[in-house]
Amino acid sequence: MAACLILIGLLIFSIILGIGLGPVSISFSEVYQVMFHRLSGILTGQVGLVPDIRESTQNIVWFLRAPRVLLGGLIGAALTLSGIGMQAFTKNPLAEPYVLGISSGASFGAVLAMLLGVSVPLLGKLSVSMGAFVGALVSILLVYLLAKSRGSVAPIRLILVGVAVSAMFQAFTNYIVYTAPDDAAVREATFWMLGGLGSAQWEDLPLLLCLTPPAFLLMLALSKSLNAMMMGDSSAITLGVNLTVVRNLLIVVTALLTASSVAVSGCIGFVGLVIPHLIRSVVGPDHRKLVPISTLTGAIFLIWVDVAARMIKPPAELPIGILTAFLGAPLFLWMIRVRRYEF
Amino acid sequence: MITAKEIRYAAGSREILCGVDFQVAEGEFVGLIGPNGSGKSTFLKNLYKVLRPQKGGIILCGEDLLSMSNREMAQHMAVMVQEQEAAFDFTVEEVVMMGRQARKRLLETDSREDWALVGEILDLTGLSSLRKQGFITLSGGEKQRVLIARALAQQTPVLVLDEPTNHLDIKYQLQLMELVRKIGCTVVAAIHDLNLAATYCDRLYAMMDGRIVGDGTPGQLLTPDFLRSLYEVETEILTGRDGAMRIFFYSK
Repeated sequence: MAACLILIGLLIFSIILGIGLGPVSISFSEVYQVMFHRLSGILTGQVGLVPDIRESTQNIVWFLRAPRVLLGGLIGAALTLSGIGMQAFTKNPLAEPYVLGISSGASFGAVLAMLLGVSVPLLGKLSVSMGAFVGALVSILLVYLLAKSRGSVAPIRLILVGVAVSAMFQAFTNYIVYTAPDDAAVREATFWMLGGLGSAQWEDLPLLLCLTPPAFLLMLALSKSLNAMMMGDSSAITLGVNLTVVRNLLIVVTALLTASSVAVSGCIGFVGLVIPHLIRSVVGPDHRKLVPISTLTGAIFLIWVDVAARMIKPPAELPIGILTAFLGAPLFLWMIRVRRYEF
Repeated sequence: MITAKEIRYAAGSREILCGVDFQVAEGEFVGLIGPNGSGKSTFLKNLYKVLRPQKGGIILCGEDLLSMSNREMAQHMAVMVQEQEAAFDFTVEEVVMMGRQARKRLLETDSREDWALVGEILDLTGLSSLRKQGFITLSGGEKQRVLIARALAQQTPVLVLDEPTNHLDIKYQLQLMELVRKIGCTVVAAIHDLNLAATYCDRLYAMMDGRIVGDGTPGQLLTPDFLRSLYEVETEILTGRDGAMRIFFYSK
């Protein structure tokens, strides 16, 4: 409980500091004034500018940085929850959306939507982010379904199937990009493969805002069942867990969280691997602690990685997925080599 | 307490249980014996809902088990399962505390009473000194004791033990059986060691090829003729210092 309160404080602090930091540095008090003014303006219906701060600064705070930082926090939380969900489902600490090949499904969907203008009944012409969403959803469900054998999913099968499905989508994407008439496809595919929060707008927030908090509550409600599931199927059943229901919920939640994260920000890998692992090594594997503490830490983590992404080579921005992979891939290897996790 | 009628179970085309009838009265300690592959484990798995019988019905504490939720079942019957896996390293006390789950509401936390009970059970099973240890780091026998402790934490009227003395050295085999006896709830146990079965069980069921081939008190059931047909071994039956049966085995 105390840890959660401290983390909530840190999160708010990170949001304000994160909005201030960037190629154009903005002071803590200016950020606070603009944010407070705008937010209270939304409540009273009077949107306006703070009198004695430059308009361009205010625009950077409200239209560029604020949605970006908030989106970063939400995606950090969503990817962490999704990682915990997949790890619980597979009973393996190495499972993670990126490892299971979702990124290639998403970039395939995005490129397909952009270049071919695929239309879907009811939805009309597919937008690029919608394409990424559908691509991610299809690939994650495909991986789960193909890995399933006699009602259960063995971790090793899941990871191998992930590799194969990933390679297949990658081949499709490469084909489309290679035969595309202009460079736009290459840029689009690259963005979805590497991820980035640079294009974040307020309109990107509602989808994740509607999904992440309910998903968090659901995972918290399931946490005791998830604990029991870690002791094996027979243990879980005899301790009173309805395995089928919990497993189906996990698939739906992880698929939705991952697909909507990818749809707004591209593939940001390894967050769902690094954060739960780190928190587990501090508080232990009990999901009642792991879920809230990891989710908050994941939000804070991605806000700061995004700050780094825009500070390392200003004014250019690094795709955030490069940085998370730099941090996550070595940890992944370390977990396999040093911790000797069994498949 | 438990009535199983005409339980049939097949894995694919292979029939493993061909109509098993099984009954346990309140307070009875019933052992299930039989050679490897006779269907003991499969039958118990049908009894604790890891497998679902294709035919037949099971009544547990007056209710239909097959229409019960897993949660309701866990409030009536605790099971010491054979599997010893742990994907992540929970501590011994955390694993034992999992036994309390079925009695908790969704977000309810562990109460002072739960912790007191867990402490008591850890004492009872000789695990107090290991309570903060990781489950993964324990030996097979220690894990086995943690799993019995977890089942006891469920505080149910019925206890099912699936090969409870596997991995245990002789001291803990006897200790575990004494402990279960002392608690005095209704017990069903699949047991390989016939001497343990004869010493502690009120009644035995013998299984072979997916059928019950005999039942009765150890004294009635375990005769040299019967054991020859069940296990294809010669036996000699004596009485020990404590008045219990002792069976000696000779290959045929």
